[in-house]
Formats: sequence, C-alpha cells, structure tokens
Amino acid sequence: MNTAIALLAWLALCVFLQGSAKVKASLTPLLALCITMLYFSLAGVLQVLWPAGLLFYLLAFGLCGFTLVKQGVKTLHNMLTPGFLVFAVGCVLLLAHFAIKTPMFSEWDEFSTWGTAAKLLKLNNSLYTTAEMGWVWTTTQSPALPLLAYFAQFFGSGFAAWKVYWAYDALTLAVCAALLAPYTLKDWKKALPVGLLALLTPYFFSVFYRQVHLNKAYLTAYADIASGLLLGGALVLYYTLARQGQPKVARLWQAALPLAALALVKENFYPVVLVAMALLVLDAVLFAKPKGKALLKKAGIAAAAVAAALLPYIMWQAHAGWANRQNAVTGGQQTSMDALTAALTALRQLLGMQPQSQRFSEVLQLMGPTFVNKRVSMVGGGLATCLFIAALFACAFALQQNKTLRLRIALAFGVLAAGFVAYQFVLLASYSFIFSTSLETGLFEYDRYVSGYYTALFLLGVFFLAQAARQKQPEAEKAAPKHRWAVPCLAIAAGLLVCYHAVFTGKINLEAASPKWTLLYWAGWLALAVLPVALALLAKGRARLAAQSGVLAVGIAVALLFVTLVPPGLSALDYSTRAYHQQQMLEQNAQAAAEYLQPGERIFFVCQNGTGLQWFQYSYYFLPYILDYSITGGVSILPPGTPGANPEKAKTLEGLQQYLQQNNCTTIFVVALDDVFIETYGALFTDGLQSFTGQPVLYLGNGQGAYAPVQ
Amino acid sequence: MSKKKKKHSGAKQSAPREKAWKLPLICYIVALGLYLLGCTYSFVQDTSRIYSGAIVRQAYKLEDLALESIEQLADENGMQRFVSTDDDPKILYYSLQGTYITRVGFNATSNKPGGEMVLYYTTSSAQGLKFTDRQKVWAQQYADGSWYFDLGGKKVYGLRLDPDTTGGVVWTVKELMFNAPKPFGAYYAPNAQPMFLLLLLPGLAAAGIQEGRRIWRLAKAAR
Repeated sequence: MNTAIALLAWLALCVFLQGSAKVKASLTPLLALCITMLYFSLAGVLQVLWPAGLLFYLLAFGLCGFTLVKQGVKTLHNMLTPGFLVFAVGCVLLLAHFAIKTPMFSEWDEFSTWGTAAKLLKLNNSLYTTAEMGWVWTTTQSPALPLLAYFAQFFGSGFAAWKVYWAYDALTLAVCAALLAPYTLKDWKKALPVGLLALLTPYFFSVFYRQVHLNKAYLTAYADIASGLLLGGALVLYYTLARQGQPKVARLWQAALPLAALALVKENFYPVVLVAMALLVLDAVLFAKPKGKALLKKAGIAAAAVAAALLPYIMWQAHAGWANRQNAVTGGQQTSMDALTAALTALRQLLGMQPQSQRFSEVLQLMGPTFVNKRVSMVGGGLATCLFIAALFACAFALQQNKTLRLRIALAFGVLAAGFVAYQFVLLASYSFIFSTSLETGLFEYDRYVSGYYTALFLLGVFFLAQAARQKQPEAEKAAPKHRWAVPCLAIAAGLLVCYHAVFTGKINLEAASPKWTLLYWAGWLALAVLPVALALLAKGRARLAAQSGVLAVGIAVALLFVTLVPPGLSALDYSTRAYHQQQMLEQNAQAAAEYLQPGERIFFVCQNGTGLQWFQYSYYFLPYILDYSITGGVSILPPGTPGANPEKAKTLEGLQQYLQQNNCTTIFVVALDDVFIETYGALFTDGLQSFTGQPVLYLGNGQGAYAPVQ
Repeated sequence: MSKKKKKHSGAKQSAPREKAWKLPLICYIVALGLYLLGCTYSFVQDTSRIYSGAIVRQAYKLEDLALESIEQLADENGMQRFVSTDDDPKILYYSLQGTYITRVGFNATSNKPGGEMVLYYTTSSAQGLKFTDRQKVWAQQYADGSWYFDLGGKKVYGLRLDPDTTGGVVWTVKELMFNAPKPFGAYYAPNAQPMFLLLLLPGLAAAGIQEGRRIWRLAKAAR
C-alpha cells in the first residue's frame, strides 16, 4: 500500500516535470527518481527525514495538481510515450509480482550493509550513520539507494525487503524509459528491441554461464547493477537533449541530476562520475552551436552545472566524516587507507617512484589475465566484452551520417575508454591498499566491480546505434539501393550466434578449450571487429536500415542468450518460493525470540565456528533489537591459551561475564556451540547449555549474572 | 504493454502503404497459437504414452528407495516418517531404464522449513550416479501444500530427491509417486517467464519481418 503511494508520487512528479519544467515525458521517471535520492539525502544529513519526506509527498501531488489545473488534460496526453508507459506499467506489474512473491535478502552484503542500512532507515526515520548498531562501519555506506528504498515504504510502520528490490527495479525501468525517450508510440517497432535490450541488461552483465541457482538480477540490494544503469542513463539522457545533433547547454541541468545522484549511489564509482562529467563539459563546449563570447558563457554554464553536481557528494563526505568522528568516540576505528592516499601510493608504485609492495605487485600481475579471462558478461571475458561494445560504437560511428554526431560518438568513446583505463587503475589501488581479501583465488568479486562500467558503455553504445537507425532516410537510399550491405549485418548475427553457441555448450573456457573452439570463438569476435569497416564501405546510402538491423540483431542475440542461460524458474520472474526458505527460517527464529524481549534489550550472540554471516543475518532480522558485536561478530569465542585464539579477544569465564555486564547484554542468543564453549562458559547458563539441541535458543538474564533458557 | 502500443499506432497511422497493426497482430496470434499448440502437444503426448503403457504411475515406499543421510522413523497414523541427519539428505532411485517421467509428486509435510527442495535426474545409463546442477528441477507446491516436480516427460535413468538442506527436519510422507497425475489445466497454466517472452518476442519478430520485407523490396528494385 505504502509502495503504491510512493509510485503515485513518482508519477505525479513526472507529470509536473513534463508539464511545467518541459522535460521529455520519457526522461521524467529517471529525473523524478534522482530528485528523490538527492532530496532525501539532503534531508537525511539535516536530520529531518520524516517531516521532509512528508513535505516531498505533499509537493509531488500538489505540483502535479497545479500542472494539471494550469495546462489541462493535454499534459496527460503528452505523457503517453513508450518510455513512460514502460516505467508506469512495469512498476505496477512488478509491485503486484513482488507483493505476492515477497522475495527476501539472501546475500552477504545485503545483511552487512545494503539491506540493513535500508531497514535502519525505515525503523528509525533517520540516517543509519547516526543509528545505534552492534557495529560501526555503516558510515562508509553511500545513502542514495537505501533512501530510495526508504521512500518506497515511507508510510506505515513495517519493513519489507521486497520493497527495497522494487525501488531499485523502478530505477532500472526509469533508465529503460530514458533509453526510449526519442520514440513515440508510432515508432513501437524501433522502440521494442531497444526496450528489450535495456530490460535484459541487468542479466547480460550478471549471467556468465547457464544458471543453476536463482539469478539475483532484479532481486538485489547491491549497488553494482544500479550504479551502472544510472551512469548509462545519465549519459543517454544527456545525448537525448540535442537539437540537430548539437547539445543543448541550457538543458544540461537534467543530465547533471543523475550524475549528482550517482555520486551518492556507490563510493568507488566516484572517479567514474568525474570521467562522465568531464565528457559532458567537453562535449558541450566543443559541439554547442554558439561560438565566441556566447560559447564562453555556455561553457561557464556547463562547468557550473557539472560543478554543482559535485556538491551533494561533498556534503555527504562531510557528514560521513562527522559521523565517523562520533563513532570513533564510542570505539570505532579506521580500518584501511583512505581512497586518495591509496590512489597516490598506487601511482607512485606503478611509476617506480617507490618500491612495489608485495601485494601491489601480486595484484598488478593478476590484473591483465583477469581482464582477459574473467567472465563479466554473457559474451565472455573483459576483452571480448570490450570488443563487443567497441563494435557497437564503431557501427554507430560508421552508420551515422550526421558529421557532428559522428564526432560526438568518437569523443564519447575516446573519453570513456580512457576512463575505463583509469577505472582499472582505481581497482588496482583498491585491491592493493583498501580491500584485504585473499588473492589466492584471484581478484575477489572483480566481475561485480567492473560490471557497472561495462553496463553504462553498453547502454550508450546501444543508444548511439539506435540513434543511427532513426536518422532521416537519405536520398541516396532510394536512388542507388544495393543489397550487399546485408552481408555484414548477417556477419554480426553470425558472430553473436557463434559466441552464443560456444557459451551454451560451455566450450569457451579459454584456458582449457580445444583449439577448434578457441578458433571459432575468436573468429566470432573478429567478425564483430571487422564489421564496422565493412559496413562503412558497403552501406553508403543505406545506413539507416543497416543500423536498424544491427539493433535488431543485438536485441535478438541478447534475448536468445537470456533464454538459453537463464532457465525458467531461476529468474526474478518465475522462481520457486522454496528459494528463500532458509531466510524464512532465520526470520522465524528471530521473530520467535523477539517475543520475549523488552524494548531496548541487547542480545549477545553465540555462533561457534561461524563465518560471521549468521551474525550479520540475525543483526538484520532482530532489528530494532540490537545484536551486540559479541566480541567476535559471530566467530568462535575462545578462552585464552586455546590454539587459534586472538589474545585481544580471548575471554575467560569472568572476562565474558564482565563483558556482558559492561555492554548491558541482558539476553544471550545461542545458534551454534562447540565443546570448548560448553566447558568454559557453561557455568553462565542455568541449564549448563543442555537445552540447546541444534535449534537456536534464547537465554534470558536473571539479573544476577546467570542466564536461563526460554522454553 | 506492447499491445497497448500497438493499438495506438494502429489508430493513428492511417495506412500509408498498409495497415500498420496487421503484421504485429498476426505475429501475436501466431505466437499464442504456437504456444497453445505446444501445450496441447505435450498433453496429447503424455496421454498417449499413458495409454500405450510408456508412462506408468507408481507410488513408492521408502523401503523401495535408497536413502542417504536419512533415518527412517516409526510410522504414524499409517504414514511413513523420516528425519534428515545432515544438510544433504538424499532419496535415490536409479533402476529406471529410460522410463518416461512427467511429474514426481511428493505429498509430505515437515515439522519446520528446511531450505531448498530439489529433484535431480540423469538421462543416460552411462551417467551412473553423476547428478549435475544442469539436470535438476525445483519443487513447486500445490494449493494443498503438497510438493511436485515437473520434468515434462523426459526419459530418465536415475532420480535423486533432496528434501531439505538443513538437516534435523522430520518429514511425514503421505505419498511419493512417479508420474503423479498432471491435471489438464497444468499443461496450459501460464508461467511468468514464457509469458514475458510471449509479450516481447512476437513484437520483435514483427519488427524483424517488416525490416526484412523493406530490404527485400529495395533489393528487388535494384535489379
């Protein structure tokens, strides 16, 4: 119900933006969502989340009413575009679908950061940075996406994970709508493959082999997919704002909004935001119509708009720093190098101005092979994906007849390619000096970190190619038609089909593939690389048709890959309810235990031989009750002198008693035990831990330092 | 949503060459027809196999099957009971000789939720006991709470049912049946993913055909 109100508020805001601010109808959803993220971030930092949120809802409906009264029903008629309809209808369908299926969180980071942050926001009506929690590092968390989820369940009191998913998917649909902005309902034929591509993009960059478990695209609270889509959306939006191929500087604020929001979506995407901003300013200055003094003025406007987009990020950094200091007082600590120091150290070591640390040289050695071999999309490793995307850009470049647009495509590709190299450097620095994960199994979750950039490049490539398919039919097309150009178009399809088949049969594991398959695989990619040249030579005068066929071919190929690699029942659309049983059980355990708790009670957590995951999960499920960090955060608690015991964290029986008293832990939640724990600490429990038979047991303190089981 | 789009374009475009909505409409009707035909085909196939004796409906007792990480308990009200002893319990049956299996019914209740429930199958005798992630189906649930696995009429050599993934779950089995009856409606029951594709692919095909026709015309004009 509260989610339906949120959707209505967004739609109302869209109507206002279209009617009164003269934004293209299909671009309004993306802007409305970005405005929501930015507004709520500001309100959160100012600590007025609840009243400001109420005001936002009132404003959205009020402004919509104002627009309708002033401009009449004509505005509503203007809203009827493919993009806006996809957003509105898609949101309604997803809302109904998720309300029935109620998917839950299930991944590690959803419990340790993203999902818990959203739940804290909802329960406290204030930013998670200031919330009380069993641990301290949530301050590094970017706020925009959890706030979007907060908006989606603003009214009412309960918290539901599926509403978080719904809010993030609304963002996906908004980006899809932005991609469809140039089309009217009459152009549905051209819009359809583009829309399909946009909807399947989250799968394209998260499915690498045939799925055997539920694929989490559209069911994730991670920021990776969302940040990539938002970057792509921002760039597409900017290139949509053009008249006769030239940028409209006065409308630059529209593109600055998503970039500003993006800076608050994912921390390590910030350098990429800077790259995108550089591209926007360069493009606006180089290609805007006025020359001379007027150009200077326009360049000033462009630079100012882009600089203004940095403000929210600076504001957030100030807030996070403040919150960090607050936490430091209560025992928080800096665990790793800050980003700037890491980047500078990496640069010095790379240029040989400083001897390379062992971890740095290890990471450096891994970067190359990981880029080539590690699968990052449905078509294969990073190199193959780069070739694929480059082919999209090259086709668009070759087929675009407008000279200005051609140069703009080239500029975009050049800047973004340079940005890609820079982003690899950011990853190098991150893996070397910020992340502390082991390198034995390669670079940890490398595919997840790079997928965002590929996603954005892919969306922009598709947009440019689709743009080439929309150009006015040149006279030459009627005058001298030849059908030879169909050959390269077939080549694109054939190249993709070869890859598709190779992926399907699982034969393109490049390290251990038979020579025949490796050859075929590379032949497929060579076809893609040679293609734009062939197209440019052959397609004189038939560029529009060629581009349209290209879009169709890519659309069909991606749809085929999707159907092959994601069996029915393993996607968000059709998964078995059984997939979330484990989570349902944990939630039930926490809810059953919570019946016995008084408001404000703190729970000590015992999970011997755990990995910490269960501690994060129960931290999330027990909220608003606080699960104490419990000395180790869900890893074994050991007495001093035991092999493997951390001397700082080892506790004797008295030590544990003291800890419980100091941290005001009035209850103990036991999930897993071992002999060491029963022997050492059994005396704390009135039943000597006999009640524990594998199922979690809650022990309540009797006020005299002993704990009794709840039956 | 594409249907909506189609109506609008049909209403507005006053047929310069031909009616714009005609081709997509045909594509959607054909796709729907093919889909229903496919459903009917599998219904007819299953029915004929039942009559020819290729599909045999058979209920199994736990004694007939191989059990791993499962301890049988005393019967209760004439129903068999078992408890899973670790997080990977398996009920196995591998003396099938390429028998057609449509649907495996598992009418059972547990004392608590137990995580994922999956049925693995093998499709050649050479495969032996090598069950893979590529050959598995997830459990689905009837309205009355009993479970079933839909294999869609595959020639099967071995089956492996993993009832839970947590261990310590007590199951009460009313019935475990190979080729459990599949109601007529189930052949036509819409699933979300096919529906999603049914909504998009015919439109895509229509766009492709139209584009292809234009190319054809241009090529002909060139000659």
